[in-house]
Amino acid sequence: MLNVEKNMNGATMEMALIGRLDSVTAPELKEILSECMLDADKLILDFAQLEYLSSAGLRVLLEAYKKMSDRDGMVIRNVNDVIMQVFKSVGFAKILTIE
Amino acid sequence: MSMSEKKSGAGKTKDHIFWENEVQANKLMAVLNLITIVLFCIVWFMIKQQFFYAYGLERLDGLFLLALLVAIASTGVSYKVHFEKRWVKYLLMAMLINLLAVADVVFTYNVSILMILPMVISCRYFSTRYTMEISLVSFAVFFLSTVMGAFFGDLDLNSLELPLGTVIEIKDEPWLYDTVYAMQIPFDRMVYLKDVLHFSYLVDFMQALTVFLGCVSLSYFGNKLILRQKEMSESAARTHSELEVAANIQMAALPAEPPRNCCFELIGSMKPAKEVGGDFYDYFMVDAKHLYFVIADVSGKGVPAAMFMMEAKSILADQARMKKSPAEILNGANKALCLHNQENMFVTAWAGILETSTGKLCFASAGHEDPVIKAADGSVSFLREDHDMPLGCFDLLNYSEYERQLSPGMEMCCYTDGVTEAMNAEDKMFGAERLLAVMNAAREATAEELMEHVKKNVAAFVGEADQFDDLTLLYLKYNGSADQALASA
Repeated sequence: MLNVEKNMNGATMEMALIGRLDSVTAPELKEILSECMLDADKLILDFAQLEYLSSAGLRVLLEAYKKMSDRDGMVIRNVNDVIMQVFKSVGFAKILTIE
Repeated sequence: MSMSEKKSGAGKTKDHIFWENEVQANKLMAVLNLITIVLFCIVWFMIKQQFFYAYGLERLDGLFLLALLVAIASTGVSYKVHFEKRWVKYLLMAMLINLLAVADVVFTYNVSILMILPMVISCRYFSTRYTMEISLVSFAVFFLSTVMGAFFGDLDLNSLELPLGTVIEIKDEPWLYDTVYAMQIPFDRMVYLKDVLHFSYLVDFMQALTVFLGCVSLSYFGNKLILRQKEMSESAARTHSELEVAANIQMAALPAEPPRNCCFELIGSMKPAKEVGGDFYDYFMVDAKHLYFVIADVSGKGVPAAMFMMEAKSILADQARMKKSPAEILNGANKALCLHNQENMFVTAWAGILETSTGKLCFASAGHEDPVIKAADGSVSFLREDHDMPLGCFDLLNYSEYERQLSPGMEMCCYTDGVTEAMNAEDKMFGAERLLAVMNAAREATAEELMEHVKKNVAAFVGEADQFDDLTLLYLKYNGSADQALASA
């Protein structure tokens, strides 16, 4: 289960991910992201309530990161320890902007 | 070519599917005929025992019995040809309609839904044409049976117009119309027939018409459904056999035999969660003194992961054969994998080059799980270093290289997250700590036994739960070289 709360603030899209981002929910997020990225210049993802992140989820984040890198970029906020460990262990921590 | 020969043919054509269904339907019809025959016998017997009463039966005894005999004989003939003739469905249906029509003649207004039975049963053949044929025959035959019933069957007093002032006097006759017959009250038979057709047949006919439309649409959609089911089962079978071959190709791509070398023991194992998986391991001697070994995990599972896995494995091996260092191998493979990566797939990989004579291990990690190292004294730890991004993400990455000295007796276990993230029925993960503990407790001697030990522990932990991710292990035990033995001696 993954719930996404969207909030468009000017050209900045803020999104709070609630639940699990795994192979089941990753395609849902991919679709939501591809819709939003049409008119957003900057993407802020709030991970405060994200419980789990799998490699399928990482793929979607990577895709979004690549697309947003031509514009004002993508920022991930409020990453908990478990997910930070995932980012570190696959080297994403070096690339992604994590606040 | 006869139908039975057609049936033994290998491929199932569209006609063949419906022919198989028709034979099944014929058998069902035969059973229904037999049930009807038995019911008729029971009813006939009960009327003879005066449990039921039917005026018509006394006059139509012969007709009733004849219909029964013909129905029995036809069912027998159908059985004789194993229900595998085109005419069987018409014969059996004709017999059923005949039986029902005779019942209609005898019992007239007492039985009303008989006309729709043949239509409903004909749906079982999933042929709109057959259902239409049977329905039309049914309408016609029951028209005739209604006419005959008006002359010979039970008298429907509701449709009987008697002259005004007619007095009916009941004596010891059990039924009202017996009284009418016994009193020989004159009535106009043609007016009676007209009324029966008007109030009985026409009403039944209109009800049967709705059932008829329903049955035609039922058989039409049944027909479509069977065709779709056939397509689906064929495509499922095709996919299954393709996946089987794909799984064989994938398994054959993994190294079969570890290199024979007295300096080390090496063994790998890969168990995909689906038919094909995205995990792999590989190893070979780059030259006489250098062993290349790698373990990797493509994001996702199934066919997409397997295709990317085959590409990643061969690119990595090509890079390794150029005698590059682990970091250079990953750099080269990453650039190659980024070239045509429309789907943004990526693969985590841990690659090592072991100098067999000295035990010097160079390695680099593209976001892969840290291997477990077991020192000769039995202490276990992770071979933890900073992680770089997986292969396939960004083409301009430079991977870092690390070095570790292996001493004789040291063991190393590389794995994919299918091992550490293996879930049991309570949704608990196997976890890296448990892997350390299992490694710590291991007392097995050879690499093969050690790997079995880890696999057994994971299997015991997971228990009945389904395997969710590919499970891959690569086990290395460094024995040391003759040079080292000499030096220490």
